[in-house]
Amino acid sequence: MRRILSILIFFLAAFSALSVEKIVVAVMQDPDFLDPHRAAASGTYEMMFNVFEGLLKPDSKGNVVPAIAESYSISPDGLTYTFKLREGVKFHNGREVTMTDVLYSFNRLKGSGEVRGLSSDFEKFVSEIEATDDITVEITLNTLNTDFLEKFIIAIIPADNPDHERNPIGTGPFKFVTYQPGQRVVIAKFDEYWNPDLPLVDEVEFRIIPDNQAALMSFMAGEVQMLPRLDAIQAEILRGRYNLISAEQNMVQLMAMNLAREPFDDLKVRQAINLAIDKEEIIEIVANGYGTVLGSNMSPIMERYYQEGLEDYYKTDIVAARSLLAQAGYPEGFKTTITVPSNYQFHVDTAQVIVEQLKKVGITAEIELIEWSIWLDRVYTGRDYEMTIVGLTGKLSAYDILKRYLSDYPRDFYNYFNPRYDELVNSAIKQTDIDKKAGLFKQAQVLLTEEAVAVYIMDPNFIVALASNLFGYNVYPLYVQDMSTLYYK
Amino acid sequence: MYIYLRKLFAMLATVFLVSMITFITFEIIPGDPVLARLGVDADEAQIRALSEELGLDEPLYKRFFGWITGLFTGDLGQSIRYSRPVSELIFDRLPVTLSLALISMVLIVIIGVPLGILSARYGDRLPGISISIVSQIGMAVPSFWTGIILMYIFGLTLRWVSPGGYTPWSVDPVEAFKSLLLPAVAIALPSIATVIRYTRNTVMEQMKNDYVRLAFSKGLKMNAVLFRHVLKNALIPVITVLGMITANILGGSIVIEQVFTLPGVGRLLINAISVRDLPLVQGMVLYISLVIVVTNFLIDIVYTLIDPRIKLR
Repeated sequence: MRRILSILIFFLAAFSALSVEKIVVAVMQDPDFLDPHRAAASGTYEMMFNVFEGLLKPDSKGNVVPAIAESYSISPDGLTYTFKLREGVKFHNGREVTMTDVLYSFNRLKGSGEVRGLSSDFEKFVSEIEATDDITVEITLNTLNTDFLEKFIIAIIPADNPDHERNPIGTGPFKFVTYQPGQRVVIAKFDEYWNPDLPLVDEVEFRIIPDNQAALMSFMAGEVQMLPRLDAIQAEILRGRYNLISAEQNMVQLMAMNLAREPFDDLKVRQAINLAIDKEEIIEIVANGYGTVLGSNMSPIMERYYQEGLEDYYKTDIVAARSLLAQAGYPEGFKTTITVPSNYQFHVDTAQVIVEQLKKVGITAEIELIEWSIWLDRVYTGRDYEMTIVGLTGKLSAYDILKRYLSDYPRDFYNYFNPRYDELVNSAIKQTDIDKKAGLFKQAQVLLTEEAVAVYIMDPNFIVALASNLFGYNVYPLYVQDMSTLYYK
Repeated sequence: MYIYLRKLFAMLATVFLVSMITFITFEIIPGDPVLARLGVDADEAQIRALSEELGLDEPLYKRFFGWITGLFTGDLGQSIRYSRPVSELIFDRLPVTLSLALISMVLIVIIGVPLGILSARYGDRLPGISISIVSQIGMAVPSFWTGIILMYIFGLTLRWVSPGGYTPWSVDPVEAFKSLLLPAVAIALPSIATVIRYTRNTVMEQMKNDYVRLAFSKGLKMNAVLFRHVLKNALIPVITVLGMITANILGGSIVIEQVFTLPGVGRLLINAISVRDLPLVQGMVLYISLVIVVTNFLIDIVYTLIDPRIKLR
């Protein structure tokens, strides 16, 4: 009898182990930091979005909604943000979130006393962080920044966690289980999540598969249930057989021209290059048509701030391009180099199409492939390049997208210095009137287009493949995978 | 005893030189580990915090001697990219690489050597020629391609194994063996071809010698000559090749690990180099030089076992 019972128990255990609903997601790279305040990479946020939450969190429409905070208000002068904490929000270690944790997190970002902060935005803009009672916190800015609300999506973490890197603890729908470098990040359902309806599956494994081909095979073999960021060829292979979701992703793929170098210091040359390049053709060849033509450094998904019509500003016109080049003193064209990070096949393919297109106006461009770490060092930081192609991932705040062109931005690798532009962007965040603010951001985009600071190519579509029984996927205008709403049917 | 001391000294000198060269190379090549870790979206405050933590502004010689001193206490340092001890990262990967090496070496030896002998035995007849042709093809086909084809056939079509799913030995030995077999085959195929050709050539070379003619004239049959006399002499160069192949596989099969998504040392090394993680690269280089030195030493010992005339000197 005892034997039968133990066999029964064994089978029950085996059965319950089997019934754990698990999703394996293929990702390209390791997280940079698990500590949410130290992490910068989009690829990390993509995963840890499920583990950490701020006072606010982004929704799939690109708005920020209350999370650890239950509600918030902004003072009429726009300088003070007041948050009321939600009752009963728990960390993954079972302890309730208190004001101490909120103050600890913000002070860690802003820095206090001798210790420097981990966020230059908090260092620069926040003057005071104060708890007025146990559940109310007031954050006062030293200067008006109406795009600052989006900053409060930054994670609130427990003050008593001795190691945020090895044992990250947050309040999100999933808790961190393990990270094996080069292999996987595993997260599991948090049973005491403040929203009792979420998450719907028990476990998620982000499996690190740097090789595209291997990821595709794993997906087709059923080893992986979700394959985000498909390229055009993969999408073509999977089409019709699997559930594919495709949407704009708030990314700007651009070709920068070093404005501090000849001949790109000449507006006419930059305009000629813009006229020579046929973006529709690039999208057709490189992205199989899955992309949206851009005209400036803003994706149409940023509805409120997006300046329409700029995508037609430079209609492909070889004759006009040639005559502009002639006016600039290059009737025969010139020789140049497009430096491309070799790990981004998408940009390499784009460069190849552009080389052919530039030939038509007499410009001979050579492609120089370099390693990503060299690109970051030499091109992005050292500004030592002629032309380069890169994709910049989207942010919720238009300021965060457009600040890359500010004269005092440390990584203004375009070498774009225009007081008029600085004025527009800096005064936009001083506007409490949303329409006026949007108007200024739009003017800034127009300026970038008119001055042909770069060739704004496309917002490549985000394509994700899901196992045929997996549902509930939400597309965000951000670089995230929200695993909490996914379920099997 | 003296000989072992000398070997040990040579080993230390090799490791020291290799480490120094790695340090200097990393000083020369462009790329910044802080930027490589954080990427384009890095905040200046985050860059500052990581740079301060790593202390990379110290002069090269100081860091090098710091590393050497750490070595004597068994401390390989902290990885820049993963914020974990280098030794932990390497030891995590070793089971995969060691088992891959073991399985593929077994395949190489039990397939390569007999086929080589067979091919020499029937040199100009059909079996010899066909083995020769097949081994030629085996050498020409790159292992990553073999890997993809194997995965397509056994993973996608027949569903015998699951691509991209590595199971550790501790979890399920049968599954672990299944997930390692295909990559081991992919690694082994080109080496099997090499070993076949090598064995065939050395055996045929030996067959021309006078002692073989003598053996035949004594009335010995082909097989007796081959296995009793020729093979012992022919095996020495084959052992050398096998040693080189072993060291190579233990150093990490970068491409195969990539294709099969195996967490071996090869992928770790590639990652470490691409993100300029000097402490991790240093640890890996140390590991690889140790593997090579130790394998060479073992081969020397095997020589003396096969041919007592050879002495360690």
